[in-house]
Amino acid sequence: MNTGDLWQWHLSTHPHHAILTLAGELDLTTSTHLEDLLATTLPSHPILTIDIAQVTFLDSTIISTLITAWRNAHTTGGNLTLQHPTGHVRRVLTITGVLDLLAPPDSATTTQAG
Amino acid sequence: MSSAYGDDPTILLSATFTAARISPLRHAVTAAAAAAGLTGDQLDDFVLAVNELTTNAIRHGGGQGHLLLHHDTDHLTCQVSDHGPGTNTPPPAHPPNPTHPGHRGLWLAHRLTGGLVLNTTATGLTATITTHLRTQ
Repeated sequence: MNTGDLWQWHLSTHPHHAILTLAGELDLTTSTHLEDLLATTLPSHPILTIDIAQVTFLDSTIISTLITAWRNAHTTGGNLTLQHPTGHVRRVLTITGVLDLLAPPDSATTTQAG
Repeated sequence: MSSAYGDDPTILLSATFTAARISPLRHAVTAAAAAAGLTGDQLDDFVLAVNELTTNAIRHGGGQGHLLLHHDTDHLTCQVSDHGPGTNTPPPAHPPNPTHPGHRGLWLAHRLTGGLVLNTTATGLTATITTHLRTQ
């Protein structure tokens, strides 16, 4: 894990996809770093899964960052998927209507199996 | 519990903030709101709503703001003031299309608390949210 005060990330690469694991609290002060991280990761790993099981806080700036990355991935023929949202993070993604977009049920089943 | 609070508002937090203080301020609001009696989703919803207001002040209200958290017998209220241009548009009734980034902050604050009040004055925007405290 690459550690910060509030959040950590780790990228694991596989032959045909990569998994970015995020942990901690994601807010305005981390959004620029996360944007940069996704902008540098997606070109070399266009099929990207972001595991947010250990994310305990996420706000609208991070949702914007994730949607922008999702759009960029699709524009270039890739895909970006969230997996394992839990607790209040899952509630917020559901309320804002982006859970089905970023974490479709079929992909969650697939990634959990893999 | 309620007799200890009385009917007059009690100030729990009063702080000026910039972007660098947004995370520790959120932690302070969490602790104060929990001490006031919020738990579970109601606590997390309120904290996220406050976070959206402070974030909005940073991004659109001149880069800093002032937070005032207070309660009376039945309500916990947070007021965030900034020195930006403000808005005369009420919070949208529906969330943005899921594929559109942005413009979720104030909607989310409104949705999570059921009552976001925006007041634009000559000096800036004051955004206020209120949640009910369960009386024991």
